[in-house]
Amino acid sequence: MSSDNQILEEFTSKEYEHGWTVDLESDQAPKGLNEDTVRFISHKKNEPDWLLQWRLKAFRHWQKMEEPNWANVNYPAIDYQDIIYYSAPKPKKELSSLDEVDPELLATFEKLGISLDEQKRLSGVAVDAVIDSVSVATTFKDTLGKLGVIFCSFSEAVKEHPELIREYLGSVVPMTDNYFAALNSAVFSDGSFCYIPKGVRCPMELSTYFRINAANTGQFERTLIIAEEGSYVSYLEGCTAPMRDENQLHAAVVEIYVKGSAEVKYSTVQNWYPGNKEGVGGIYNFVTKRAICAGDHAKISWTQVETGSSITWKYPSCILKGDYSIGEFYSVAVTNNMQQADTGTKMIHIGKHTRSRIVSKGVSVGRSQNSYRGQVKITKKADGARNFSQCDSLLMGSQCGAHTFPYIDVENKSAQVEHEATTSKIGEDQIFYCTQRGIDEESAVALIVNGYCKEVLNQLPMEFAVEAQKLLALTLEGSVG
Amino acid sequence: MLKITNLHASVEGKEILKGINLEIKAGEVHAIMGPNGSGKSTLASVLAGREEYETTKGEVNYMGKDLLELAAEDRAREGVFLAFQYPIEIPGVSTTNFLKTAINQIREYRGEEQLDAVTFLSRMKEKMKLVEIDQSLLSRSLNEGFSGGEKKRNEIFQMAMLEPKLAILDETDSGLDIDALKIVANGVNKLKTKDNATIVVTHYQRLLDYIVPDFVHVLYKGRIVKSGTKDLALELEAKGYDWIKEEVKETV
Amino acid sequence: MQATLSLKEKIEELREKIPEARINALDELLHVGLPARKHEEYKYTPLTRFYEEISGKAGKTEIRPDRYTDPEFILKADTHKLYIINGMFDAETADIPKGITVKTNDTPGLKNPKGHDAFDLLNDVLFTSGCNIMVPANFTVEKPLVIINVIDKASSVSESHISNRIHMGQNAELTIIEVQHYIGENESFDSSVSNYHLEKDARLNSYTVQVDGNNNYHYNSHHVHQESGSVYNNFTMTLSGKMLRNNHNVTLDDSHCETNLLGFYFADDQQHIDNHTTVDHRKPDSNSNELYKGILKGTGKGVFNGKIYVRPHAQNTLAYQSNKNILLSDEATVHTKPQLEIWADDVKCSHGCTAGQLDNEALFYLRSRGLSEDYAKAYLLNAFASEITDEIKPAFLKDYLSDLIHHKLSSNDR
Repeated sequence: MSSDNQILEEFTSKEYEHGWTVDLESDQAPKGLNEDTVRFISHKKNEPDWLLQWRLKAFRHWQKMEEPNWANVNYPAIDYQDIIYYSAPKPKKELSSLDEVDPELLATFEKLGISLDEQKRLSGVAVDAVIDSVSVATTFKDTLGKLGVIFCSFSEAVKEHPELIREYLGSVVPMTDNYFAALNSAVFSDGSFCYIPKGVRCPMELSTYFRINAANTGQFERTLIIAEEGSYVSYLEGCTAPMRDENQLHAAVVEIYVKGSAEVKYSTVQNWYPGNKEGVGGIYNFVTKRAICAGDHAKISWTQVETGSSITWKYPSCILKGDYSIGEFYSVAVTNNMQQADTGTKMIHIGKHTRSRIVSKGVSVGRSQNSYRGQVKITKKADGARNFSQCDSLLMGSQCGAHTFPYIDVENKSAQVEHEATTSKIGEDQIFYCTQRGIDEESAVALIVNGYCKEVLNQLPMEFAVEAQKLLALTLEGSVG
Repeated sequence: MLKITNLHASVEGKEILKGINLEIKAGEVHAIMGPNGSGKSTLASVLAGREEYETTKGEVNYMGKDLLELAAEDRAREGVFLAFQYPIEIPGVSTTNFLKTAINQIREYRGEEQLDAVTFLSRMKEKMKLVEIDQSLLSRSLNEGFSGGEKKRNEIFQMAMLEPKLAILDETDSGLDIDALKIVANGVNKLKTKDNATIVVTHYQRLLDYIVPDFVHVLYKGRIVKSGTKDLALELEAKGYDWIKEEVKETV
Repeated sequence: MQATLSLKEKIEELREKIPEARINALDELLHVGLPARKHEEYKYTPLTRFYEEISGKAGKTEIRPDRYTDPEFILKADTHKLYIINGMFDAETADIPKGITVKTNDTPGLKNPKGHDAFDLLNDVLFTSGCNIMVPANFTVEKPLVIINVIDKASSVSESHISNRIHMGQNAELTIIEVQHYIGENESFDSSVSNYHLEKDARLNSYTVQVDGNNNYHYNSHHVHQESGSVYNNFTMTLSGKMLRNNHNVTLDDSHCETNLLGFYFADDQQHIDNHTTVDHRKPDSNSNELYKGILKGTGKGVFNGKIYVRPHAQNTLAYQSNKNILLSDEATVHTKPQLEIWADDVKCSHGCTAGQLDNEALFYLRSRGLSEDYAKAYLLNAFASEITDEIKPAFLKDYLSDLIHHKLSSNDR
């Protein structure tokens, strides 16, 4: 038997590290979905009528839609009536400082490795924490406020900045965009809102941590980021969920509106519960993320490290409307055991001299299926557009699959589009070289995979990168070694 | 330090080593020479624990331990170092990061504390001089895009960092020009102490002008057919391997 | 009255008229229907719409060999020739190489119609004839064998469906050149389905030559099945036609097979060329290589979809695929989707595709050496095409196609 196979078999499964639950009393909507559910959520959140109407419109549209089936993933039909669409940790009261936060909740975040207190302040990351769809704490508000940066929960933004919400909600991802986006539009319960005024360079990383805690709940958060002309922000998103035998649905929407010469960097480390070794449980992660570079010289950069979820359906996209705007997508997707991921991006070139870059690194382990699906579209008017895509797959073991589905549509002769993809494995020679230097096989594999993903990990802010590296090693445990 | 007794090894069912006997003591330098395909590199690989090679017979005692029972990484942690003939490339992993991982895992095995960053870096600086290797090379992906000479120097640099007891240099001279050869040999010589030993596997005598061996062994068809001192290497240089082949024929 | 019937009804009517062996395909066709507009495999190529328009309009097929002369490039070539005229294999004029058998093909191609392209099913229900070629073991046919598919649409709209088979015995070798030849200006729809089987160590060189015809809608499909040690080479050269769809499916069903697929397409105004290829590695130790290049001009449209499958246990597979496109006008478009699906870990697979204009650097370089811009462009485009044409073995075919491409590229503006 080759050493590789042995390596694969020797590895024992490492249980999901964030798989604990917390006994938080929560305030829930009854199971099931109908117009009353939508009204219930809107009422709970004291929303203005226009927003309720918006939700209802989305709901009615959603009812007419069919769940998409084109992705390379298989899962039993979701019973949308068997989900709780709203669950808020109780007591829900206005919090003026962190001291008032439920200590149980703070402990939750400690376990997540996110401290909402002083430590985090020292490291200079503002955090918005969302548990079971409700934002529970946002740090650093005052510091940011002085610069005019708004960083708060979505619900708060609806109350405090209704004009901004009204103007931009659905402007990048229309409520009718797709099945899951429509569903989210109808029932989203909270999320983060971020506004960077003209010319402001946000001095710290803004970060949202999402956690699904309650059982049988879906999580439908919504993030809206607006970057005014010439501004800059780096935004981080992390997520975990408890281990549960049933599947939980997560259908989020992220909209980013980037104006001229502004730049938004959006980084995700997705670590939802992936299900156990046999594929029982885990999060269904059906997420719509899209950014528009509305003005000239705007830039959006997506970086994602996807290690969790039993099913991932996610295509952070860039609409490059402004001339000379830039879209980037850097992705690492690791699937192990029975996980399935169908992820990639869309680069829609509309403006002249727009540029995009795609770097996707897939790692398939165990019996998992890992697909890259991406579209590069150069429209008629996008003179001088450029795209370069590199999609690499790494397979470990003979029971997994790696798939690449790039769609390249070019309607302009001056475009320059290049796509490259390769598939490879970790060489026995590489592992032997490492072991000869005293590194055990498991660490050798983690080291090599980290090296393989370097180009993407380099895009992450420092402390996220460290976290991501650890996460990669964890995900690979129980798979290789 | 190392005692090899009647070692047989095969790869894909084909026997390559057919009874090697060799004893190496601390402080010694042994050269293993032989024509192509004689089993030199196989011997190096078997000692380092490459899994494609199956040892079918014989014993290898290394500092009181049964070397063949140890996993490759444990052999490394016990102080066996192989300088590869063809160092592998690992994209995205810098030499620095790689060595830090290796050193800390070795230290953990030995029950020692992790090396702090400052000590690690100062040790690196010190050893870099030894093989005249540049910092920029060490922050690049391991061996990726390195020239032949750079790869070999990197091997000796790693050897310096890991401070092995038994170093096996597998055709370290191949593909090196004379200047690089001197640098590499100089590095190896400086690392020599009375407590460690070196096995130099080579096809040509050239390297032995710079790394002077205490003993020279000629490997042919999987056996050590002749042993001697440095003079044997010179004789081989002058006469080639044919006379050895003849001698072996006669004795068979 | 025919025209008022839906396609479905027309097909249903055939149930009573066609042999038993075709009923499976008919049932499956009724079940799946011809691909609708949103069908993933046909989303850029609305062949169904045009088929529906033409189907039923065709006049009675008249066989008029007298109206026909060979295309010039094969007239003088030293080859064997077989003719299929308006869907019927002409056994009388067939020049069959000694040592092999060629018969009229009347065997429906599909044993199990499930999962087939609907146009394959349509062909299986409707095909009228074709040739069935058997090359015995250890036999090498020296001269190329040309199959000329003549579609005479001079006097009315035409519809035809043919199906060819080639069976290569162990260690047999054959070069085949399939030529589409259209006469007249009326609209036509024709389908051609070929089933090739290569036994152990057989070598088949096939050339698909689509260089004439306008107002024609053409569906072409190849199913190639390779046994161990066999070598299959195909060149698909598409330089003319209104809307063409080529499906090239190769199954490497054993070890040590080799497959080389090369293609060149040139679409000018109102032309639409769609190449779909599937290379299916089912067993270990086989190699495949694919290179398709295209130039799109005017309102020309190019579609490329290349699938490589590496099934579980097909270890040590080497599979390469590349698709390169040059757009010469603002109205030209290309849709390319190179697709890799890998279920085995010890394989080397890669694909790449590019779309863009001529390299400005290269253009400038040539101009700085004194070439006019137009000449420099033509020069570079010819160089782009020659990567494919240079590989063509029969000299007469290589010369003809190189000249034709050269002519098309240097005619009028860009």
